[in-house]
Amino acid sequence: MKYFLKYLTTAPVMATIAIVLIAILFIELNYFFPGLQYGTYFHRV
Amino acid sequence: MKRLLIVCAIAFSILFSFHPSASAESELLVPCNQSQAFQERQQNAPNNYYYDKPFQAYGSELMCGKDDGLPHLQLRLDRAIDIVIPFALFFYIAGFIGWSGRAYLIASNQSSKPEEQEIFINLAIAIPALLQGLLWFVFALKEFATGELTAKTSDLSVSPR
Repeated sequence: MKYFLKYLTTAPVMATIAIVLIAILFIELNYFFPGLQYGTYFHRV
Repeated sequence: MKRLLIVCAIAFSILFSFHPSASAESELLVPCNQSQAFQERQQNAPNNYYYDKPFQAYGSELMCGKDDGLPHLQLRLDRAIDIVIPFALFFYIAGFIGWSGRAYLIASNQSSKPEEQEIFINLAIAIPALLQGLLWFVFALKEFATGELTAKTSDLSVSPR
């Protein structure tokens, strides 16, 4: 268990966790504020 | 100081010599719904949420290139928010990534084995560094004001000439 936790802190594993979390964050952002990236949020369809 | 003044003078001369050309805009950009190339793109796109919604939004809200049919954001004051939000998000996220990485490296350099901390991420250092990154602009301004942000000229190595 100790070595497994140590493995989880290696840079590639941490980078994968970080990228998954950021992806979830952006998906949620797009869900609540659709159109921010299209420049159409303030004048929606 | 003299160099800074020259840079400012050039920047202001560019700023005031720029005249937005209304005629060029109306020739090159049309509302997306009226662009034939855009309509073709819309018809050829797959029918699902990820294509339908953006195409509807572009079609009703944005200007498209007459020939290429691709949506373009205009640099206009009344639509400034369209540009400001993506730019602000980009700068904030880029700053967050940079600042939290910098804070982690500075903190891990204090330990006895800094190289190991780059392979095995030390969460006790990483989490405060990430939290610091959320307010990176405050820390950056503070460090810029106190002179910690940049290295002294005397510390920079110069190759032999």
